[in-house]
Amino acid sequence: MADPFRLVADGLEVSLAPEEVVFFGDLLRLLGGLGGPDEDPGAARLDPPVYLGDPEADAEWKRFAGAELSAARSADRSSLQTVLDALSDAHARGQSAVVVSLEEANAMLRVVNDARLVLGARWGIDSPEDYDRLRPESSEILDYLGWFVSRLAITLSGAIDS
Amino acid sequence: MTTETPVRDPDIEQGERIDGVWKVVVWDDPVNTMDYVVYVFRKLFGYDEVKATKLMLQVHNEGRSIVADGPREKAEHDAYRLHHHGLWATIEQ
Repeated sequence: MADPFRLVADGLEVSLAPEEVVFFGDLLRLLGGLGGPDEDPGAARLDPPVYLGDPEADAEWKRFAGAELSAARSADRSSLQTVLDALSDAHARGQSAVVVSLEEANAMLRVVNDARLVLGARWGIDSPEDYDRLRPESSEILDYLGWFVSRLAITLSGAIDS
Repeated sequence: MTTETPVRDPDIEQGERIDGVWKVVVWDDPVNTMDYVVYVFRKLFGYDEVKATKLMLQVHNEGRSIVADGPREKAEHDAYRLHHHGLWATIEQ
């Protein structure tokens, strides 16, 4: 699979196929429509306890940090939507790549990783052995998202090194 | 030799006694990729690749690793940033 990322002077060049843009749009809708943590294991995975064995302290933490975290994730999703829109425009012009800022690249990384965490939780991935019980199409999706996340993280590490 | 009595800062003393040092713990999970976890440790804490990789491997092999520490407010802030990046972090004394 071709590497979709390249560090450039003013950010990160991202090259995605039209079907990938559609797929990431689906992931945005998935994350925007999460249920409550009590009924949705995906939502619970994104908001684990910070204080183990101290429900009172944890509830206090969630009162203070929960809304801020939710707003930060919403901003990340909006950022990715902007990137996807730019890619769609590029495709319409016969191009496949756009340059995004490092902030947008990091938001994209967090959103795609969140989507992988949510899907993994909903599909019952609690241990490495659980991957063997996945349906082939589910396994392909997690593999693809894992490859995407790792490639993007490795590429952005280059920005830290420089 | 001075004979002055040292002046104590009551705020600092009380703060240390009440707050102490809080540890930020990251727990293993079977979904986050190793490359991603290393990158997050480097980005959030400024660790070099060797230290970030060592911490990631400790999480992977031992189930948890202490990745930072400090006053409670800082530990909570670190946990917040780690959760924003999808890592499961807790804080403890």
